Amino acid sequence: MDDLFGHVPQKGELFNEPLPVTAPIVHTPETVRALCLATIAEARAAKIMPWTPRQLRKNTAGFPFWAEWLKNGEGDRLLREFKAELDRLEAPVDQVAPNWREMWALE
Amino acid sequence: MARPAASILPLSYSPLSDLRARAHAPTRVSVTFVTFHRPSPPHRCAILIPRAFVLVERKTSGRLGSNPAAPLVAGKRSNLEKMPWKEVAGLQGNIENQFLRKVLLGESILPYRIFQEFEGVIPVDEVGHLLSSTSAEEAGYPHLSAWMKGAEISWDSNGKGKRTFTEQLDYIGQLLSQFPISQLRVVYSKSGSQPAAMVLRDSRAVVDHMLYWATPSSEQEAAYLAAILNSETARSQAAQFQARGQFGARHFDKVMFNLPIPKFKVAQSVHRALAEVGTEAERVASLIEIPEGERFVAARQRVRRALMADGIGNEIEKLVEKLLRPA
Repeated sequence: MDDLFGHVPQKGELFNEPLPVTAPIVHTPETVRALCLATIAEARAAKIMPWTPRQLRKNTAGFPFWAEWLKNGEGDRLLREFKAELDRLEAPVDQVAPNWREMWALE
Repeated sequence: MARPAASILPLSYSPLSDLRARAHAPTRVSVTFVTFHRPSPPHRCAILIPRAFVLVERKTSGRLGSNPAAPLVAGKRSNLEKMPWKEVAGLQGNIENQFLRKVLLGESILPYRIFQEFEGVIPVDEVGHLLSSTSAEEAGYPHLSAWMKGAEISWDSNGKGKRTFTEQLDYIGQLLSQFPISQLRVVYSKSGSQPAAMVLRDSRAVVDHMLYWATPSSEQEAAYLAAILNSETARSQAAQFQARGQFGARHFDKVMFNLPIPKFKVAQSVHRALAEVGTEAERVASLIEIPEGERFVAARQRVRRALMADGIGNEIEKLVEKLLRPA
């Protein structure tokens, strides 16, 4: 039923019906470490670039941010390991993320 | 009272047409599909003030440890408090757990994610009744009653005498309009020169007047709205509606809703695509580490940089441009 001002109650507004809601994404150093290690492992297991250009960009864009979660040098160490794998796989410079190119002075 | 100007565009997510009829009512941005709410008309008042009577910090109890059913809290003080409240003695006491709620202020959100949560004493019971010291006592909540008594005495002594403390908390219905709290909301920051919006999935969190909130009908619609509201394309198109002051453009406030944002239709491929990229942007933003002590303005910039580096930021801009392009 509309109210005097023309407001139409929305679904769930009157009785707070349960909506299918996904759980909020909450990361911790542990979840981010797992992501970093899984990404490195995927690269390490490959003989040729295992990712599409889109995924390569996402991984190279994200990894420096993910590494910031891991303190006491761990993030930097994993970042270097990831860089070494991308060098081995000869990641095309024009497909990596701009922040990755800037970080490693790639041209 | 001056009434807000009517919208100049045909709107699907518009606050303004509804505001005309709601000069004294909570600002509910009534539309056919989703309703954006703001708890007060422009420039009128704020809820959850005085902050030190509402926002709290947990305190450690004595040797017996804390009471999990009624933790010890103290009013959160800030150097931003204004007179006379900055000189008013702070409150401290136990509060029944159910009245301690997460509170989101304008600075609580970044694009696509939460940033800084606050905790507050929100005297609303499980059936949505706002409690004063007297009604809390009658309902069997002695700790809340004592807290409210302290706040009411200080409010009566230092306030302007226009309303009681509980009336202030729910001024023009701005607090109770949030109850029952939806499990799924989109919240949007009205302040700042760069908008920020996120999907909020927390049916215990109360939203302060510096945020607008909406109850979308689905996760897809929530992601769709968050993608649009966070986009630079929408911001730049809305900039023409921004008020300008001595120091340049003023807060974004509602100007984003002047844009012809279509209501979400799952059958529309652009809408679905925006929902998908909005969801992905949320995932990317969730993985950004925000250094301790970083201010929300810098944190918002950090998230935006990450989204652009990822490429998802650019995908969103292209889709929003397509969405808002005149037919």
